[in-house]
Amino acid sequence: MRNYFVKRLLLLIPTLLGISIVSFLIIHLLPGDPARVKVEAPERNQLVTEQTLRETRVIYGLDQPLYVQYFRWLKRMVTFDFGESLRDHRPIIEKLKERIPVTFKLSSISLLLAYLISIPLGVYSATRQHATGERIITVVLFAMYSLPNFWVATMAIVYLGGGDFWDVFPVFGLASAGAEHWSWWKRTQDEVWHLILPVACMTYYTLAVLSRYMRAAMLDIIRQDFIRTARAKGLSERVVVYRHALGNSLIPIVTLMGDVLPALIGGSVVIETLFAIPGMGSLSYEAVFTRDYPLLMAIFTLSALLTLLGILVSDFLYTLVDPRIGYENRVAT
Amino acid sequence: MELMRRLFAFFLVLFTLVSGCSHPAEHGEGVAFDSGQPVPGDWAVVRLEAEPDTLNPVNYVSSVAQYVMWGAKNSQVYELLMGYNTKDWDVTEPLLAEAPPTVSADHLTYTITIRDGVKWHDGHPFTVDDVLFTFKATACPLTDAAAHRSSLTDLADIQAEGRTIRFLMSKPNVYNLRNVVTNLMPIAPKHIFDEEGLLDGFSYKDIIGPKGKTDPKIKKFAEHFNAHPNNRAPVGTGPYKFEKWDSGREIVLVRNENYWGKKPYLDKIVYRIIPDYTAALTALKAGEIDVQPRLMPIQYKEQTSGSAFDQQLAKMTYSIPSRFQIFWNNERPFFKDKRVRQAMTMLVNREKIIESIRLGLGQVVESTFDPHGKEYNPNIKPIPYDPKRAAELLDEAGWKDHDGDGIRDKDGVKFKFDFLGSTGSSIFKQLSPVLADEFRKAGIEMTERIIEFSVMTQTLKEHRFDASVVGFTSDLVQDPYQIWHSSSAAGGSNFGNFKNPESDRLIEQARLEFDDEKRNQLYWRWQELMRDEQPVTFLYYVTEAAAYSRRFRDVEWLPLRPGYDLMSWWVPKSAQKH
Amino acid sequence: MKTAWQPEGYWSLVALQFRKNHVAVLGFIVVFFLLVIAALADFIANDKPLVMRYRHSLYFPVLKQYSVSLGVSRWQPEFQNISFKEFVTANFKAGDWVQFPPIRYSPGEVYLSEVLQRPTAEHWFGTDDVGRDVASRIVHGSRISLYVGFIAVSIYVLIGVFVGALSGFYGGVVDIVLSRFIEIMLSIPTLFLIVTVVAFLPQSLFNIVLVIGITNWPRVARLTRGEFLKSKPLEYVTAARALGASDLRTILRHILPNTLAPVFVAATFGVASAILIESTLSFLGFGVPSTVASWGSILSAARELQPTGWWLAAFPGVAIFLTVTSYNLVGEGLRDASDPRLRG
Repeated sequence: MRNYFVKRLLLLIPTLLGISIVSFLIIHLLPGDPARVKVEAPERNQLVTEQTLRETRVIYGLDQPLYVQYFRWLKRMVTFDFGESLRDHRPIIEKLKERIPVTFKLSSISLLLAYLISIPLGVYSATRQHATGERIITVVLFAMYSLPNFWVATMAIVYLGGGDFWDVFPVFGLASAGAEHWSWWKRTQDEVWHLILPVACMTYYTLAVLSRYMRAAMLDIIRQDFIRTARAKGLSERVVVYRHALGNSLIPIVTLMGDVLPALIGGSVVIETLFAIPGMGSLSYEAVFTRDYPLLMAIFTLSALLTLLGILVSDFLYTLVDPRIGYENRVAT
Repeated sequence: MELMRRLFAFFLVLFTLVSGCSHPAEHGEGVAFDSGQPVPGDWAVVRLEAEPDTLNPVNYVSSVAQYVMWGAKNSQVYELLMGYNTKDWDVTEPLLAEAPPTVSADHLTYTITIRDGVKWHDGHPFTVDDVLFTFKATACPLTDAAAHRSSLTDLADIQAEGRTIRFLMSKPNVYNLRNVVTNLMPIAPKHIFDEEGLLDGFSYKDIIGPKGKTDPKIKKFAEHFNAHPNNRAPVGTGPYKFEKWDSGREIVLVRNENYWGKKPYLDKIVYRIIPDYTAALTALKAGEIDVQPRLMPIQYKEQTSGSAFDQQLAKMTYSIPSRFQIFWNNERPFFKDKRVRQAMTMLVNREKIIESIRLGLGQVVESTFDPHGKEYNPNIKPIPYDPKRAAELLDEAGWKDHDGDGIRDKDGVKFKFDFLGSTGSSIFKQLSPVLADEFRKAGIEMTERIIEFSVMTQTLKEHRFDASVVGFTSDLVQDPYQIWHSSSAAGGSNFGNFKNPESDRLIEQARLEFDDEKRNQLYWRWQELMRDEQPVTFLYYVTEAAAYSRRFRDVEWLPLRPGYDLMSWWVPKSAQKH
Repeated sequence: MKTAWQPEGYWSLVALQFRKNHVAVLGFIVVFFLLVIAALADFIANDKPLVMRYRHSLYFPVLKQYSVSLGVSRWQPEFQNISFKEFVTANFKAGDWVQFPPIRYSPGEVYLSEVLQRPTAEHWFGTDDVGRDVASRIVHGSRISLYVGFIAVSIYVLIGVFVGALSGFYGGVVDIVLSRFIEIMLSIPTLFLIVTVVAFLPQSLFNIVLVIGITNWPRVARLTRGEFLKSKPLEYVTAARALGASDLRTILRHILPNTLAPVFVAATFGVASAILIESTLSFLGFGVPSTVASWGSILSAARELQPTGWWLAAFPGVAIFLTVTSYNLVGEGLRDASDPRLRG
């Protein structure tokens, strides 16, 4: 087993390399390039000469052949130098340092809440399968799940944000004006108040989905023989459910956990745009449209690294959750 | 009796003054007129719809950067040589220049004397070297200023001595003054951006010559300039100083107590970045921002009224030199004939579109010129919406339904074309079904083609489209060469491939006509020609709507983006919030 | 002679079990109803009449439209490119009659004078920002939802299950290679994938479906792989192998049916989430062209206008809710019904 995981960790490097090449190619193959984006906006009706486009390309290092550009990037990456963003020549590491903590805060709270609530909810749904309470919960979850989050966010802003209706929550950013001068306690309170709406909008969907997965998996397990055995042995319902059934039914949940790591810095462009929160989602979105190649490569690389690590972690967690899973090829011949 | 007459006279004068100040910009409800003497104090929290890319006056591209750096009247943090005067919106108000430039007889040399006694925000004196430096930095091929460098192509050399600076142009052009000398260049501080004086050894001519690309000193300067820390902390000469930039959240400016000119009243300007329009209006109503300079039409019409709103807030409309037009690719078989183009315009119900889609926030202008300017020919009547006449013209041009399938055709070519739009363009989403419906009734089939926003301009420039809707924002006075001259079809903004020798001739002549009256005559004639040729269909000229807190007095709204100028705003002591 | 005990087929057993779940049956009825509406959309909402008697001749314009679009026939010259409603008002005389569909508007009919109207007798669900009838768009939008839901999900479920099963069953090198491929796909941020597809392909309904398919199969693959990893060491698999079952048979007949529970859930969620993704894509600007009436695009356009125009959000919202809930109920009902352990 250990060999397997060591092998996997080592495999990370060539996989990452492969991903970086694929990403690099796709990014550069996209029509348009950052020089054009910089110099031409349809609104400006200026005569832009080919010469100025060429000059800009030189500044951005785009005049070199692709493989040269790639190796330059690789050389920098080895020393963890992410380079400069083409949009404003700021070091990319600065931009990431500004935005990742914001997204991390939002995503981690959201995911934590989602997992914390959905697991017991799924268990409850499975064990009380035909009770009225469960039916109601099912319908409510389905309702929550059928509303797109840009929609819910807008409704929250319009009806709870202090326009013509109730003024319960602040609607933009993560802090009120002048908050940096307040005491720690007041600032935290203020931040919590700002976080409630965006986190709620990010969480409800994941919550609904996870709890249904949980329910399906639990239902599956609960009918199996070894559960019947446990019950026959006289174990209390709670022990049966939580000790014996839960572990096995966590498999799909663990699979989905592979998504958690990259989600922590992924950010949701919808939520961030609507709530004016400067996070990674809007940074990535802007990077795509301005074709900010170095920034895109940095985001891809980070995201790929975290995805791969996340998958590795979830594969590892499988073994904890169900010791029968092995990765060696044990199929009888 | 005497008192009554005096009172009457007083009110008569007052009334004339107030109504006489008819401004192209200020038509709106709830204009807050002054009640008392202006006092300093309070802040204005203004909504910004995006974050500026940079606050470097040479390298910036985003329009929001411009709003923060020098606003609508060319003077906020940075200043330009000249500003707009509010009487005729010409750039004739001296700012960093002492007086409008003098022009040589051959129109090739412009001479400016800069103002004395101006200091940068850090105390350094403003000198002619700063002006020279700004132009050198822009023209340097290694600085990331390509967006602005293009306007300097006709500038051959700059000479500076004492307090005088001379611009030498390579060819005469009546627009040189605005484009090069006075309008587009905010002045950047040399002592900040070129601390080591790396550019001192080079003249302007050197920089635009071959040395500009290769000299190691220039290279060093350019790299430093592009990534300079003061790109995020501008130091200018203007009435407001930079205080801080909280990335992604807000930019704060504070009043410059040592300003050389008339100091503004507001202590601080806070720009809050709120991309979403719905959230912005909610924030305004909740009192978290004070000024929302751009409302959506539906917000202006339906969501900014009622007693709760009127107590705290006011709204207004102002027009800006921004227009939407449908470009027909004149090289396509259908759009080659001007009768067809006229017919297409007749099939577009522009009044109705403004009424129903813009909800009244726009006007039909059958010209590329701003309707408030003197170049605009008011005698030109817009082509009316007339489907019957359109059908006749199409028949005349040979486009009839020869094969009975409901679509017109000619010489075996069906009248089917693509309407090009970019992702996320709401005007396209609304316009396209309206046009498709109307055209179908006339026997023309139009389908949609949507491409990504970032590649839109390239596609338009390379003429790889049949028809498209494009919005342009320009200056109040703009040289039509950029869009309408046939040479602009190769890389300029003449997306529709319009090539007409008479039009070219008039445009070229006008550029060289330095007598205003005569030039305007040329433009009037040109507009008549354009109405006949209809290379594009002018959709509408934009009217923007804004809403702001009632506590501000002397609120001025301007016919230029961003539409406001906070220099004159003030808040009575009793109403001050901050 | 009938025996007392009849051997029953697998699916009839499932159907029997399904029928016992009343909520799921309700869901099924709603889904069926939606399918009917989608199929008959042209007969429910159309600006052309169902049947018309004009000058002693009987016409069937809705049917005629089908044959014209197939290229089989042509419109009569007097009916070419006209508005039938206007035609009727202008030209009908005594003895002529017409029967329009219950909603007498097409989804693309624009009326600039009737922009943003509330629901009235004329427009049951009101009109949108260019005067199109919302009820008609909702009816025709059901087709798009079906299309997006089923096709997108079919694409990614088929690919995902296939790749995941192979990866989980064979393990070893196959697993290593396929897993890396899955990882590469998962590492590319969704937004970027969308923009890439949109940049290269013209924006159309099918390409949206393609995007949804491409971005979701890796997840299903991982789920399936997880289940296969779990099932492979179980006794029944060893038994099947011992009995000489080939790999394919083992996978398809033995393991797959037992591991499909999470995949089922993923698929039913997927149909619904495909509809939602389409809606979010519209919000971001990448949605269907405006000639296609989808519930998601109506909702996304309605968003900017709020709080004005509640009807633009309420009706598509309810439609999406009903559809999503019904699919999920049916999916879960099927899952419950096909689980042999739940019977009896």
